[in-house]
Parts: sequence; structure tokens; C-alpha cells
Amino acid sequence: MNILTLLVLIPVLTMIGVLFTKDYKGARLASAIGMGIELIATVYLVLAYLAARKTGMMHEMLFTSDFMWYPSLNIHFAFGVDGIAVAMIGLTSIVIFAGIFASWELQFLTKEFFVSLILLVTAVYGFFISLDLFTMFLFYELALIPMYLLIGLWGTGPKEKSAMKLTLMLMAGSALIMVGILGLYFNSAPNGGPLTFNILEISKINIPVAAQRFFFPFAFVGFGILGALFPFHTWSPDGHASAPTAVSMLHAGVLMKLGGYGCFRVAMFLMPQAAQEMAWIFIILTTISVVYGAFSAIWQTDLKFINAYSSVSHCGLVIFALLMMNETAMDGAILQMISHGLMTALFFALIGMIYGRTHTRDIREMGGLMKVIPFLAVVYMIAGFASLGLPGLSGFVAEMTVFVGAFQHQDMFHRVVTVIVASSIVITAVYILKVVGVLLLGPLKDQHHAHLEDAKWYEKLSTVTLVLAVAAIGIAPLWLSDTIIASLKPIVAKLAMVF
Amino acid sequence: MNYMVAVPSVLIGLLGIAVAWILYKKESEVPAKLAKSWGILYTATYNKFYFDEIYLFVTRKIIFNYISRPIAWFDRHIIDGFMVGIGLTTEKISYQIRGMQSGQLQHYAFMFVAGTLALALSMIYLLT
Repeated sequence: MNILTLLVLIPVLTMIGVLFTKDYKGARLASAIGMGIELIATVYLVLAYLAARKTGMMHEMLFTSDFMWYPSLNIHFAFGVDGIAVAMIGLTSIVIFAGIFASWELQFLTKEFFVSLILLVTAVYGFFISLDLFTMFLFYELALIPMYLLIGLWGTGPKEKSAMKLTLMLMAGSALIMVGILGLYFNSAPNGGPLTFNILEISKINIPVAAQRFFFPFAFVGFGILGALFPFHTWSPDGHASAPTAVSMLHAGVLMKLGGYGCFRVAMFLMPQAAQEMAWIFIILTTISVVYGAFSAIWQTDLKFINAYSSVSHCGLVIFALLMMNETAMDGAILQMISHGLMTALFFALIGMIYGRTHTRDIREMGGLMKVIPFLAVVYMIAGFASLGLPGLSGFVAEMTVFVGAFQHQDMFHRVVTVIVASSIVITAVYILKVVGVLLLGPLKDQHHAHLEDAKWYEKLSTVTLVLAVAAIGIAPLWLSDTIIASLKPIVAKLAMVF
Repeated sequence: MNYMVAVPSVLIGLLGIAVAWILYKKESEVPAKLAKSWGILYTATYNKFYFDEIYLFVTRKIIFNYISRPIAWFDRHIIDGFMVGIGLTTEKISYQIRGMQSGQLQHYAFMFVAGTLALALSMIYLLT
């Protein structure tokens, strides 16, 4: 069986398994086993991919398979991965594995919770392996529906309102994406012949420039909404603040990356002329995203809001780097997606764990937690350092690559925006160090917090998995970076052809 | 290596260590007297030229209050307000027009005929 089919099949089987469990302990155990196997399958995929490349397999996509689904519209189940998709799958597997253990104590409708969570992640896997625009869109939509239920049912605070807002805004995005995809489909055979949804086939032809100009903004903004592109990012703070821990982890860690991934795999790769022409508009918007998100984060007092705005800033950097359209910057963008995915998942996991103990997320009500919960506090600091780009952790590698790539442009416009965006590093340091100082250091603020219990084994497992991944990329980034660059070549070549 | 820079800076460093050693080897009144004679210059140096205070002032008073705060407000009230406004307006319009779904056949028939008439008139106007 194709390894990619297996990647979708394992979560499906896990969901069925969870349905047959008797109580919450069974449900969480079944989920943990299923996602553990998925993680092993992902490691196998990574090794198989690297081995295949080493033996000289130069195809753009590997492990491809193609089944006709709906002949009259030429819709296929076409699967395949390149280095970028493999990296994103790796991120997904790590985050969901950590997410299951971060939800270990959930006892309200546990079975339904894990089924929804795993359904969400199944859709994410489906999205990353799809080579057919229609199935890609199908999986994208499939990911949004469980999100609504997960926030609406298991969330906190104004959860129904937040779930509604998040879903409606992302649905508006998917409506735009659909227009973009249909535009690509109906222009996929400019010289006659059958129309196609296949990404690789469309990439080999040139979509008429007039069609590109019309449909590019639909596809780019549609995916950009999920990537928290300014000014369509406001679903993010409310959604993340209300979502349960594992959902915040998965949403900020993985789902927001679907946005960035779609931006370059669909919008930019298939409509390069329009991408070149309109890049400046979106570069300005992402520059605003990066700086604006960071400044907004400073003023927040709710830990989840701080992280949500931080995500707006970091995800803005992803799209900014993609729009720089050279190999180094785009490599940085992918690295940033993975780095941000891991560290934001770690942040949300920790925030959930701290909230579970203190019953507040307001930093004004907490202080001096380092003495009480040293393990969680130290991991929080590591996440903070990764976020502000400390060398040795993944954030540094990603941000440096982005800035070096962006500065390769010789013109004034690109250099000025790069300098503005680079200033966000300082602003990030301000809010991270502020939170660390207020939350963890100094004397204990609330005596009720004096006897909190430090991390339990499953919390340690969850956080250490993420910390190891963040440190691994920080210490040895080249194997990942080289794999990504090799897969970026056809995309960059297609974008460069326009000049 | 740039000896023109390296040698003098090391020498200045060593000189500083030597002066400190001479001044503080034994407890004496010399350092206090010297400090007093240097006045403001000594106080400023002692407080690292108030750089910490300047940094804190810039971050806390200026960045937090005059940049972050308005941006955070703008985001919640203007940007988010606009997005929420779209939702609320849709809700409001649907509330206003719900009367059209009266369930009475006569109303629907009237709408149908009126619509057809309006279309027909506009077609006639446009085509002739």
C-alpha cells in the first residue's frame, strides 16, 4: 500500500477505534496509540523520501498515486509529496501527538472530542498530500467543520460566538479559494483538450495572464485569511482564546500553515505572472501584519491573546517571505512555518497547562510561578526564546533565512520593508520577556498558587516532544533546509520565468 | 588582527584594573573623595549613564502606551468591529426582510408579477 494512503488511513482507523471504546480512558489511549503509529509512519515516510532522493529520483513529487473519482469533471484522487509536503506532514504528526497528551485529562464527551480532533487532522494530512485542486479544497473544507464543533462544545469563554466568527471568516476564505480554483480549472486547457484540476499538469501550461490577474487575488486572499493576513486576521485572537488546548495547538500549529502552503502551492505556483505583478500589495499587507501583530501582542494581558497576536506576526512573516520569491526567502518561509508550528503548539500546550492549574490566563493575576512549577516554567522560557529567535532554537534559523533571502533584492522597496519587518524581532523580544518576567519571575503573586503541582508525565511527554523538535531544527537545520530547497526549485523557476 | 585597535584597548583595560586595584586594595577614603570631586560625572557613570532608565522609559511609557495600546484598541474596535459589523448587518437585513416570507400566496404572486413587470419594462427600455 502507498505510504501516503496509509497516512490518511491510520487516523480514520483510529477514529473508528475510538468509537468502540467504553470510557474516557479508553478513548484517550486509543487516540494516543493511533497518533503514535501515525508518528512512526511519518518517520518512515521521511526516511523513505530521503532515501528515494538519494538514489536519484528527481521527479517533482514522489510516492504518487492517481485514482479517477469523477470522470465527467476530470476529478482525481491524486496524491504525491515533495520535500515541503513531507516537512508539513512531519509537523502535523508531531503536533497532533503532543496535542493528544495535552488533552489527557479531558473528561467531557471525550470520545466525541478525540474523534473530531482526529477528523480534523485527517483532513490536514489529506490537504498536504493532494495534487488535485478539488480534493485539496475538499480536505480544506473538511478541516473547518470539526473546528467549529471543537471550539463551540469544548471551548471556554464566549465559545459559541468565537466558533461562529472563526468558521464564518474561514468559510468566506474558502469561498474565495473556490472561485480561484474554478478559475484555474476553466483556464487549464487554453489550447483545447480536457480541463484538469491537477496541480502538476496546470503548472506545465501557462494560464492566460488576464485570467491570472482576475483569479490570483481570490486564491491568494482566500488562503491568506487562514494564514492570518492583515486585515482578515481577527478570527485568530477570539478563536484561539476560546478553543480548548489541543485545538489551539493544532489550529495555530498546523491549520494556519494550510494558508501559507496554499498561497504558494496554488496561487503563486500556478499563477506566477499575477503573483509577480501583485506581490507588492501583499508585501505591504504582510509587513503590516508582522509589525502590527507584534505591537498588539505587547498590550494584551490574556496569555492566549498574546500568543494569538504573536501568531499573526509570525504567520505574516511566512507570507512575506513567500512573496520575496527567491529560493532563500521561500526556504525561510517553509522553515518559519514549521518553526512557528512547533513553538506555538508548545506555547498553547503550556498555556492550557498553566490555566488548568491557576484557572486564569490573565498575566496580571499571576507571578513568580518559576518557584512553584519549575518544569513548566522552564519549558515556557524555552518556547519564548524560540519565539524571539534565540540561536540554537528553530526560530533563529527560520528568521535569519527569511531576512537574508529578503535582503537579496537590490531595490529600495524590498530593502525598506525587510528592515521594517526585521524590527519585529525587537518587538517580539519585548513582549516575550515582559510575559516571562511577569508570569514566571519575581515573588509569588497569589498565595493560592503556592501549592500547584508541576507537570505530570503526559504533560512532560507532550512538551518535551515539541521542545526536542524545536531544538533539533535549531541545532541541525541543514538537512531540513536542503530538502526544502530541492523541492522549491521548480516553484522558484516557474516564478523566475516571468522576468 | 588589527593591532592599532587591539593593543590600546587591552592597555586601557589593564590600566583600569590597575587603578581599581590601587584604589580598593585597602580600605581608604580616597575613592569616596575622588567620587565627590567628580560630582555629576561620577553619578552618571555610576548609573550607567541612565541607559537602563532610558530603555525602560522608551519601552514602558512610549512603546507600551503610545504605540501598542492604540494599535490593540484599533484592532479590537475598528478592524474587528468592521468584521463583526458585516455579520451584524447581514443579521439586521435578514430581520428586516423576513416579513416578505409571509406564507401568503397572494403576496408571492404579487411579488412575482411585479418582478416580471419590472424586468419586462427594463428590457423594453433597454432594447428599444
